[in-house]
Amino acid sequence: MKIMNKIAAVLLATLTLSMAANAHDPKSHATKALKADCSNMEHKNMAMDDPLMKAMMKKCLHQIDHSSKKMSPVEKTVHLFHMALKKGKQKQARELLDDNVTIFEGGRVERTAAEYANHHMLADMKYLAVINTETLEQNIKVFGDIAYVMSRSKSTGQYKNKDINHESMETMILQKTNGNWKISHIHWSN
Amino acid sequence: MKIFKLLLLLIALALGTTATVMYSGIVNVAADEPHSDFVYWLLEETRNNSIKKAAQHIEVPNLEDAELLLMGGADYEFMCSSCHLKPGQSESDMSLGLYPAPPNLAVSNDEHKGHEHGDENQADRNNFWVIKHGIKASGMPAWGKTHDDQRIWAMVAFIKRLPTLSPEQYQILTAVE
Ligand code: HEC
Repeated sequence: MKIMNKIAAVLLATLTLSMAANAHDPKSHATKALKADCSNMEHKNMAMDDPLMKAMMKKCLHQIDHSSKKMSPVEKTVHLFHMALKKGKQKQARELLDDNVTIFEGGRVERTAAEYANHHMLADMKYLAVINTETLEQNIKVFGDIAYVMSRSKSTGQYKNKDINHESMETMILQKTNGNWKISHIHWSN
Repeated sequence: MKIFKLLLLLIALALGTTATVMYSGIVNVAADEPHSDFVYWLLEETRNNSIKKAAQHIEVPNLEDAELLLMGGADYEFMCSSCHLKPGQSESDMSLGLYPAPPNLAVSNDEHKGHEHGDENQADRNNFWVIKHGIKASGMPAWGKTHDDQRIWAMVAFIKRLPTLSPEQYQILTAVE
């Protein structure tokens, strides 16, 4: 069934590309996205039982399932935090941090989530929004309600007219309180 | 006898006129040259009445269904949007180049000009019929040869909601994954 889906996806993609050849506005080629952009989901003025709303939820839930189905709760927390930074979702990123998180970054320290959220986080978001990051390795250990996650990733792209191409290290310590994992320490360096 | 002669004359005259028009080449078939108002009205009326009559006994299923919207959305994006546009897009090579022009299905009926639509069920019925059978001598293909009724109803369901969609919602609903 999975294979069938893949085949269908490839066929449809080929079809779009061949149809796109009819439209000569190059912009319309660039914006052809095959994957639903669920970060754009608007649902303000829509009732939950509206079939259109259900259809969008279906599409987007299916996507979340795909990216985080097989993840452990710790891995998922880290993943969601990375995604929140990349997508500029301040509230979501803030919620994954312990109030008293200690963050070492660029030779400086920030000692509360509020401090980080008001200072470095915004700059980090701007940076991550335009930079490609690829996880090279990730090591997770869980001891009861404490976990540590060590990740090495590769960053490439251009930021403020500078070419970026380097490896970044990240160590996180997470703590489980009231059943939820929160990040209580981060050390970033590159 | 006199009447018979007159009739014969009239028939000869009609045939003569038709032949002259046909063979002289004075009729312009270029798609970038619109019909005269009269010819346009004639074709439009013929088309509307033909669709209405052909579609009148089609039974409309429940179109308020998430699965149908998703199925119809993906099909619309791939098979129809190049001609019938999508939210946030106002023209394409096809929408500009075809004559008769494909109506912009991403705007509501009262926004696209010159069409008369009956009640909602009638509009759904007409759309189903048009999608299934196409329209002669226009760019609108008959999709019924290659798609079953279920897929076509899905497109009808999608088209019904299409004018209310934002470009972002459209993207989500029509994406492959
Ligand atoms: C090659 C261009 C083209 C493609 C592709 C196309 N259409 Fe059309 N369609 C047209 C044209 C042109 C008309 C108008 C014909 C006329 O007015 O005589 C039309 C008319 C229609 C109408 C009637 C609209 C009205 O208000 O009268 C519907 C509904 C429709 N198309 C749906 C679809 C669907 C659904 C698809 C995709 C499966 C599709 N079309 C694909 C060109 C196209």
